[in-house]
Amino acid sequence: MISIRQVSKRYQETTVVDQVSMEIESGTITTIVGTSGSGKSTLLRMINRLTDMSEGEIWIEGRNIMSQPATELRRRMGYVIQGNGLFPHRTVAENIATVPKLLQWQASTIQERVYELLDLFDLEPKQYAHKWPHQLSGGQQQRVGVARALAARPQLLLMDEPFGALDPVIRHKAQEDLLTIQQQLGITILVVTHDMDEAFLLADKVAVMHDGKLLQYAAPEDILVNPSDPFCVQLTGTSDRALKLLSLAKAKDHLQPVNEAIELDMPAEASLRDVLSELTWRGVPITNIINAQGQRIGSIDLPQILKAGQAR
Amino acid sequence: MNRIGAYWPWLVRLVVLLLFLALVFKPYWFETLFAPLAPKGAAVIYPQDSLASLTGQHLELVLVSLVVSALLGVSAGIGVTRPSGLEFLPLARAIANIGQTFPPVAVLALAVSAVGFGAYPTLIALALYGLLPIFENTVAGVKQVPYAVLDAADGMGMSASQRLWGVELPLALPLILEGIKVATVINIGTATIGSTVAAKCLGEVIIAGLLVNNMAYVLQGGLIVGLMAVLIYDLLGLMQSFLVQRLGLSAQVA
Ligand SMILES: Nc1ncnc2c1ncn2[C@@H]1O[C@H](COP(=O)(O)OP(=O)(O)OP(=O)(O)O)[C@@H](O)[C@H]1O
Ligand SMILES: [Mg+2]
Repeated sequence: MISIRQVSKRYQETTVVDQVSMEIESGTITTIVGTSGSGKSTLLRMINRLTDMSEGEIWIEGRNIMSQPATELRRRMGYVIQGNGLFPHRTVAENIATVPKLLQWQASTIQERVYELLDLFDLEPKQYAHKWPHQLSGGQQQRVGVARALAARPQLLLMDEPFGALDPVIRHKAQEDLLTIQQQLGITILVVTHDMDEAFLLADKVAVMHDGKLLQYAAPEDILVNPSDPFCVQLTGTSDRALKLLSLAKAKDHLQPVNEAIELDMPAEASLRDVLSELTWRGVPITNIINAQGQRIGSIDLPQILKAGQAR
Repeated sequence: MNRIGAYWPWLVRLVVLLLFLALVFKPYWFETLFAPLAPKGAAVIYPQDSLASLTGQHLELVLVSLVVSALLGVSAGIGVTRPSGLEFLPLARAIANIGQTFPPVAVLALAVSAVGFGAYPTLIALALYGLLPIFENTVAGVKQVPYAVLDAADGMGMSASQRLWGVELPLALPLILEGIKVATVINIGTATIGSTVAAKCLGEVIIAGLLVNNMAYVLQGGLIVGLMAVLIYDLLGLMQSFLVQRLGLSAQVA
């Protein structure tokens, strides 16, 4: 658990983070959204002490972050930034090995870990380990950046607009990968992002910042359904909020009995938004839902979807 | 075609190197060539000291002063780019620049009054002259390291010295070497005036030539100094590109 207690940051007279308090549960993804200059990066950077806080306390797993040297603290968390910040004079393998080296792991352990991570991120170790960062595509560099942050098995990963420089297709893939990795490793992740769709897709909880204040800290559905502030409404937009809500709902959570008369099947992991889109496209009012093994586990029809996307 | 093309630079290097060595060690081979430039009856080849030992002493002056300016220039450049040294940057720049605007002869004269005649005043003047390009290039080299890279280094938990040695200096190295290269060439030329304050170097040949109006001496001294500068500049360039490749920086520098 990360406990942020009345944390503020001031530069001379201006307060850029203002009395922020929040509790982040371990093993979850929290996204921090807000307009430019609202203090998102500052808040994130106070957690690994790249920025000193002016006031307040931050506790991680029952330990005050000020109770240990900053370098030690940072070696135990991952940090990923926009534009990835890979070391241009170090190979992919050396980049990934940065923190394990700082922690003085054995060379053989480091090598094993590097290969394991390259595999995890779909980068064929033999082919990529000895490449220079400039020989990789933007998407590959970004994956190496995340692999480097995860190298020493941190329990907490801080990401500041990690996918900001990627094109939409690669970006979507990177988001999916991050979700998969989070589920595999069970780590806690904090992601700063400008992109509301990204924030909603990734988050267990969303933190909305504005002018240094934390306006709302809640599950994505709650932000849509019960915005605590006009600014939250403005940020999420009103034109497609029903669709946003549907995109947060999984088909498997809205099942009715299987209808054997229906030909169409969709996966249980699909969102209701995907289901709605597919039904509209085919001009049919109902589909069956199948699990990963291909067995029909239920069905979903249009009235069901209307209900799920309705204002509450 | 391409394969032959790759050998060309090495062929030129070899020819220049052989010419230089011949001028230094076998000056009498060139007697007929220089003869028209010498006054009737005068020696064609500088007789006082062997050209080889003068060349050696000249190189020594340059090398020693260069080591001093490199040590001072690089440390000062690192110092003023640390958070605690940032406020000294304008001052250090001003001092280094003023040093450069002093005419070499004036610096020599001042140095002589401080330490007397001989090699020392020359070394002081040369070290001062080499300082500016090395200092400026170190500062530029450290400053051009991208912010994202430094932020990542800090974020990974590198200490200040791990960041300096592991990230900032390697990334600044190409520019630092460039500064050393420039300083070397400046100093090879400037060292010649050291002979006016009794430092042993190739300037002696040129000045002797001017005094007795023997253009053959002037040309010999000048040629050796010039070829030496070309060869060393080229050698440093090779070292630079080798290091840059080893460090994987070719993309940025090329
Ligand atoms: N070192 C600093 N000195 C003075 N002001 C600063 C400093 N760093 C940040 N600020 C100010 O703090 C405010 C918050 O900055 P921060 O980088 O946290 O915003 P952000 O929400 O991450 O914005 P963006 O979305 O553009 O990245 C900004 O107004 C910025 O100008
Ligand atoms: Mg930011």
